Amino acid sequence: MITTNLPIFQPSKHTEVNSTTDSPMPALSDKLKALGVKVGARDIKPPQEKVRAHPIETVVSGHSVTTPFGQSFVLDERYDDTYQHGNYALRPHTSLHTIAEWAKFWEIAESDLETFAFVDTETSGLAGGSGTYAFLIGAGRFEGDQFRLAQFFMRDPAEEAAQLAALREFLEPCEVLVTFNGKSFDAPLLNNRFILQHREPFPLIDAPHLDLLHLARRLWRDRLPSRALGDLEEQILGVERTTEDTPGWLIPSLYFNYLRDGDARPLKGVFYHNAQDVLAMAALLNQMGQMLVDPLNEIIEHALDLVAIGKLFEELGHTDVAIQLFEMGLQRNDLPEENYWQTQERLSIVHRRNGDYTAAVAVWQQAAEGHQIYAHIELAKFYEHKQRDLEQAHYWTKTALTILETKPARHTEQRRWLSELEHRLARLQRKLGR
Amino acid sequence: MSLQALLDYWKVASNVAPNIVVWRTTPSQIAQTQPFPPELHPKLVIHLKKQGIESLYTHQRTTWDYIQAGHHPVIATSTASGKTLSYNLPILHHLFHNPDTRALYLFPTKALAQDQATTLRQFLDTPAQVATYDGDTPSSLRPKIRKQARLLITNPDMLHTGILPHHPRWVEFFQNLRFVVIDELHTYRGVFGSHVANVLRRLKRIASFYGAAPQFILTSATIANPIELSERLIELPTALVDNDGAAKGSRHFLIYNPPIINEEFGLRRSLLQESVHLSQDLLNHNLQTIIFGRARRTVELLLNYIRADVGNDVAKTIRAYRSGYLPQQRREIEQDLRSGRVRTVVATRALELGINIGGMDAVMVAGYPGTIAGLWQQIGRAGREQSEALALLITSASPLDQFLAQHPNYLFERSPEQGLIAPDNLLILLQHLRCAAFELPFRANEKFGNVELELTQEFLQFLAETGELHQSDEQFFWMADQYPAQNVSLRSASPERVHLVIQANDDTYQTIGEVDQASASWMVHPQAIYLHEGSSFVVEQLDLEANIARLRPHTSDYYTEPKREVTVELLERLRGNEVVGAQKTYGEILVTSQVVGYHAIRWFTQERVGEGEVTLPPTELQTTGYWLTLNDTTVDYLREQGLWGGDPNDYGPNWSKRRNQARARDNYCCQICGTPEQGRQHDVHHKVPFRMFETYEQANQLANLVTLCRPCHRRAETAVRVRSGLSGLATTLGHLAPFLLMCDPHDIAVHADPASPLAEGKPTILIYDAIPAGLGFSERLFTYHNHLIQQAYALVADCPCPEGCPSCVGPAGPDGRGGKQETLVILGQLTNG
Repeated sequence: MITTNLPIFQPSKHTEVNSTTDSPMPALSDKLKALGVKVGARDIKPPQEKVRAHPIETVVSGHSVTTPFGQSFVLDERYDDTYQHGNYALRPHTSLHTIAEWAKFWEIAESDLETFAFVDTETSGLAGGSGTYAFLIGAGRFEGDQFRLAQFFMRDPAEEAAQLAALREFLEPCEVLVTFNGKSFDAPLLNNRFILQHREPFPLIDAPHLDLLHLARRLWRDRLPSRALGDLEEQILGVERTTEDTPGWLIPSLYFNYLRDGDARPLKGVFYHNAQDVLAMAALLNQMGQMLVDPLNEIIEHALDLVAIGKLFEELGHTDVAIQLFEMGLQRNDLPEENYWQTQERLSIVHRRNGDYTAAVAVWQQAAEGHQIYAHIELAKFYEHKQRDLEQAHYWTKTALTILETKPARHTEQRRWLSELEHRLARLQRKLGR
Repeated sequence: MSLQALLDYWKVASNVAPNIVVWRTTPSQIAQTQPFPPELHPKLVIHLKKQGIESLYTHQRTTWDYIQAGHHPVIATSTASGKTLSYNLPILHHLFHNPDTRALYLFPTKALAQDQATTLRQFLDTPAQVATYDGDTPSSLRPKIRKQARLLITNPDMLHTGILPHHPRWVEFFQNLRFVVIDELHTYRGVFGSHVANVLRRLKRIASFYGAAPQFILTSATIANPIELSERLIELPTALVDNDGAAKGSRHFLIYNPPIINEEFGLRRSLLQESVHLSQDLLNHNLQTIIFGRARRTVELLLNYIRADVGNDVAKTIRAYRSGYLPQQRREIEQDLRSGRVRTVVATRALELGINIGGMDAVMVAGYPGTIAGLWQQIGRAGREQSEALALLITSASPLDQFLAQHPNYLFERSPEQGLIAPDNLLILLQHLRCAAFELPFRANEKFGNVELELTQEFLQFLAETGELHQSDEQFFWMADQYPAQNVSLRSASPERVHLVIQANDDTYQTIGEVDQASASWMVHPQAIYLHEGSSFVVEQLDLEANIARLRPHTSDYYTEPKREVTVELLERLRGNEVVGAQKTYGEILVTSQVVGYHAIRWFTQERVGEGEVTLPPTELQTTGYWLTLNDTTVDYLREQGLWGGDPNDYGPNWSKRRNQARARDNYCCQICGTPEQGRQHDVHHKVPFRMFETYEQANQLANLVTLCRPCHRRAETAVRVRSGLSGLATTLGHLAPFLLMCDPHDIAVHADPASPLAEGKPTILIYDAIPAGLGFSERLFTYHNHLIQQAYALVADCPCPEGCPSCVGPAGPDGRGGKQETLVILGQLTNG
């Protein structure tokens, strides 16, 4: 095969254009653009314009620490026991046994508070995977009569090994991990980072882990429109963040800008945001502990919270407490109507499961007056199977069907009920010989 | 025996025998075996003996020896020759000796993965050590699989988006990764193969980070270049294993070419009807049969037609098998095939690859599947170890099918098919460098696969300039809030894609698919009919800014073909030399194409039922091309040929009147050079050739006539004929190229130009890669020019049509270019000068 570049060829238009410039070959970026690669519309400052006038050291009062892997930047602050985050102190002052029971880790109730680590990360993105960095890691723990909050900052991605080594040292005494959404985000991310840099897992990856987001969802799903940490701070802890705070969605791009231009000033708000998150986690744990330690004797402000705690106790198998909490909730006048009926239904189911049909029937009769179809059906079942009172069963079946005809119900639910009821009616009429 | 009875019948049946253009019988082959390797783990020996296996086929033993010697074997033996055992044996052996050993199995499809997992589990005491990990794996099971699986079966897409970007979760897996199996190597070609080569570069990079350098084992169907393809794919030297020692029963291979029913248009009886007809013979002789159709739609049609002619009892034994069926349905059909309960299965290529259903009495392939390797894989389903079997290819009217019907030797000689990949295509490489940087920072002196260090650095600098990478301390770090693998499709070269959306009932839009931005203007231009999963949609709007095409379901009996205006610009000649009758060149070009309208064409009859105009901006494609410029000798020769002309035409009773009217209108002067008539009357020329009109009145309209002097008339005629010849040749080469390249016909494009800007205005045929920056297709054609031209000559010369037909040079177009004779003359000049 002959593959010579024959000299007889005329230079093409393309090479003519390029032969006038210094470089005979078009730059890669030109080639890529010619192939249709869209270069981001972002206004990128070239790296040579770096302003080193505002390094992080001049923005927050941290310092460099030396690790076997080089220098890392840490902002280390201490909060006295008198410090209040909103209306709550940082240190839990009640037993955490209900929370421990819910989280299925006895260590949460029995370990020394000084072994708790409160950890929150600020990252280069939410996508996860090995290309997402935790450029700022906030970690808090109790030490003596203080709460110590350390923020480990990656001044440059090349410092990551040192950043993680410093964090590991700080977490040395810790045995329990407390996070907010850390089960699906922070913990696996930190684990990735540790494996990549040190070929070993995040030291607390297998430790008892309390994810406060999961508990917050249980407690406030019905009452609060959002269970984001910032919203809980405001609604539950009574904290107003200052204007210094940076919204979470902006954080990755602030860090990218900092890496490009070296100006750390916009990151001040990120440090503030991260510190507030860690403090909020401690205060929230205190608040939750207080709310759950003895809810029957605690002053619970919202009826919906009473019901939510009731559900939690029910799930943990403490039905007596659950029944009382449900009843307390039902007696309050601030329970929205929809939740009122739902709670009643739930209460009746607990009674039924307990075999306490007297209590259950009382609830059902009340609910039946409120035109709750489920109650009519439950009564029909009760009279047919428990009391063997076919006439009563027939009566409740008929009333259920009557309500169903007049009451707008959700389509699928309605169909399910309808077929169930018609079935029951047919059976009852057969038994009654009608 | 019923097969023999059927063959005897076909030999004499007047509606079958004349259409059988090929009948070859391959003798049976006795197994060639070698003893188990003495070091083979005793557990495996027991397993094999339990299955009645007492020795290995020669190729299995060779594979073993290569693996033990540390080579990377490529097993290229026939279908059903036990390739799977060839690689499972050494891997299981190592796993039994060292329980930490991990192996990664890459299969192109999920169905294959399931089958393989079942096979492997039979060998293991702990079934959880084998796991499939793909898009169907529930997320709740994934952590357990990451921890427990020793043999992980996945596909390139999952490796690309689901495993590599999360490699820290797979530490133990990568640390102990000892083997990587790449099954069905030949499917990794073209754009897909070029992507997969980069995914493998990333895999090796991650493995190396954890201290592993796995050994690769590849399998391939019969292609011309298994070693070249495998070495480009894994960038390591490989060792070929092709001493196929498997036992084979005798096999009859028949090609049935449906009879011609219209000579002029080269129309043959329908592939579908003929397939149904022949399948009834197979059913009547109680032969268990697979019928392969080319598309899902064909499969469903075949199933319905075949079932329609049989009773209910028989209908129950006829099933279809294609993608889109639930895994459970498929398993059931596979099981029923093995047990013999299902007698006939109509399938797409979903059934082609390694799925264990046992051997069939007969395989009928309804239409050439597009590659010879694919055809052999389908045919390989016929036959058990000892018994006789039948393989039947029914050819369609398409050029490739007809070429095979005329030249069956192509199938039996060394395969011409070359699997081509271009891992360094700039666009593809760019996308994978982004993914790789996300997975691990790049060191400043780090190479990526075999990419030149300098080029790698240029890319990294480019990505640093766009702000996706941050350079510091001699390293490049991924610094963007993105997960790049998510945006990289392994099936497309260009990162920009147009989403195809349909409006659901409630004002919400649903995306049903996507196309490359580069292809969007011709695939989904406004009013285009777009076919998706057998349904027809009409495009209502194409928004190239937002990369969205809005579609609406449509029931139509037609499809559309875009009308494109194409201009070509030369960027750089890279290679070139004189060949017989022409100059061949390979270089970089810029193709600007604009879709200006479309034809609506009725299904089945191919009749044009309408056309329309569209307004779209031109699109530019910078790519590589191979072009052939006829030299002056060839053109002169054609001109001489043009002098002989054809037989005098009978232009109808009004001809002499019209002729005189035209001369009078043109003032008795030649309308090209202006010469007035002197003594001899000038000629009157039909602008659009006479034979293109249905009536002489239409042909002889004054508007279609022009007065020309003799020399100008000759040139005009020649121009028409050269143009016809060029366009016929371009069509033929376009048809044949996929044979060499194993590519989809859409991966390349042809363009004929009697005055090409690529060659100083000389007549030129261009074939280019229809993929930005090219994938090496045209380069390969440049290299294989002689072969291509010889095959083209044979295709056109042997086609029985008189004037050109869709199977050779293309049908006569609107301007009269059938051009079979002209094409042949050019090809003659290109083969012997």
